[in-house]
Amino acid sequence: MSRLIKQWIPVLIAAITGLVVLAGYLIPSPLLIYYRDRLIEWAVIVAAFAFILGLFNILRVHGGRVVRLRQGWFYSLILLLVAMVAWVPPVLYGPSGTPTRQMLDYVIGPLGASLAALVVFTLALAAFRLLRVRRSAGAVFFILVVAVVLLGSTPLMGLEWLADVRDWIISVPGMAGMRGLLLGVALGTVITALRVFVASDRPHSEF
Amino acid sequence: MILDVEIVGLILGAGLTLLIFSYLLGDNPLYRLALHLFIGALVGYSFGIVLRDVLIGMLLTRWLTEPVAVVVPLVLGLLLLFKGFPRHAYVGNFSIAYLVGVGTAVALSGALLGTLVPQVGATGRALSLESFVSFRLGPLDGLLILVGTVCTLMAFNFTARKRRGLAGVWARLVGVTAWVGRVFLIFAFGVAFAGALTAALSIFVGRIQYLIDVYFRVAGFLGG
Repeated sequence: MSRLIKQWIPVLIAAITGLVVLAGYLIPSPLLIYYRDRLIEWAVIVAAFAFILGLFNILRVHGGRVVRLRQGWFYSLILLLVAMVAWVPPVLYGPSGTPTRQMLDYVIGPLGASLAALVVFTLALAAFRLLRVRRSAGAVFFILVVAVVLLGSTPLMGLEWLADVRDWIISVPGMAGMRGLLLGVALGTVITALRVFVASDRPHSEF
Repeated sequence: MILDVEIVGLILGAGLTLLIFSYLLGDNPLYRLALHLFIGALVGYSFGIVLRDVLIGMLLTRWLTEPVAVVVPLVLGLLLLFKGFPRHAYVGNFSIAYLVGVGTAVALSGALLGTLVPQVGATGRALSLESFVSFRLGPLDGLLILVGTVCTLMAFNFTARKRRGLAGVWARLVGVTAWVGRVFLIFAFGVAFAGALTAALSIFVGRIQYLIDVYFRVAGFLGG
């Protein structure tokens, strides 16, 4: 009985719900589409509980650090205090209310954009390190492609032909490589999904 | 002189931007403070949205009007909370199984209908007459796209290879196409890297412009 509950019921739940949702996408039947939409709507609600579980984990980890005054307790205290304040505006005023917009414009927006801006230094540093650590033909070729695409985007006098080379790289070999990559990822997704449906992969079960 | 909310907000935003940029001098307490503040704000904001739009908007509202319709997700959601207690964590597996089943089906249909079918179709159309007109090198470009796509797919071949007989010849052929595929992958990654670098540079320039704007706004405000 215990084996049935712990092992086979989760497998059946995953396979049946998955196949119904998949059928709703592939077969144009109003009934299947109705069940598909209903199952996805339920999944959104269950995912909200998963979010709450994650929130409890954050509170437990950072709360424990603050209570025991462990290293970095002050940062944890800031995180908890800000989190306790930041949930109020969206609930009371909605995502487009003035206080929520102000929180997004003056706190979350600047912090997120500044972190994204730091990526430019990380990427430039990574390119230099690539050339220093691994001086292979592939690495040099990669940097060459990056340089041509970057220089081709700038309006340099006398180097207008670089823009043509850049366009060709993006629309022919770059496109072919990216398309192969996308197809590879999609095939991998299909295989992984089929393995879940036939219970070869059981990320949800304890056996 | 009364400070309005906008000026205070702009100064706050500029201050937080400078705290993040202090990372350029190395990892430091100011950067870590800003990072934890950011995570706290994101967690709080996300919780607010989930609470308002899903738990109140979808669950509670439906519960008050049509309780039967939300019994299953409510039970699954409550079972999921058992994952927080290691001794009874297996109870949450039913909810995880449900999420995995639905998520897998959505991903599978997205991969099939959103990527595989359109990308295979687009690769085939690269050899059509309409495409030749738009390509710089005409049919050669179309052929390059087709060959490049197939070779890139072959680059993800990680099985053991035989070395003798016809199987060995075939393995060598696969090896050569995989090598060609890796060249096309370098092109793809190079284009993606340059795109990411350009986007990050644009954001960096935007932040510098923001700091300059805030400086002039505050200076103008203080100057009357």
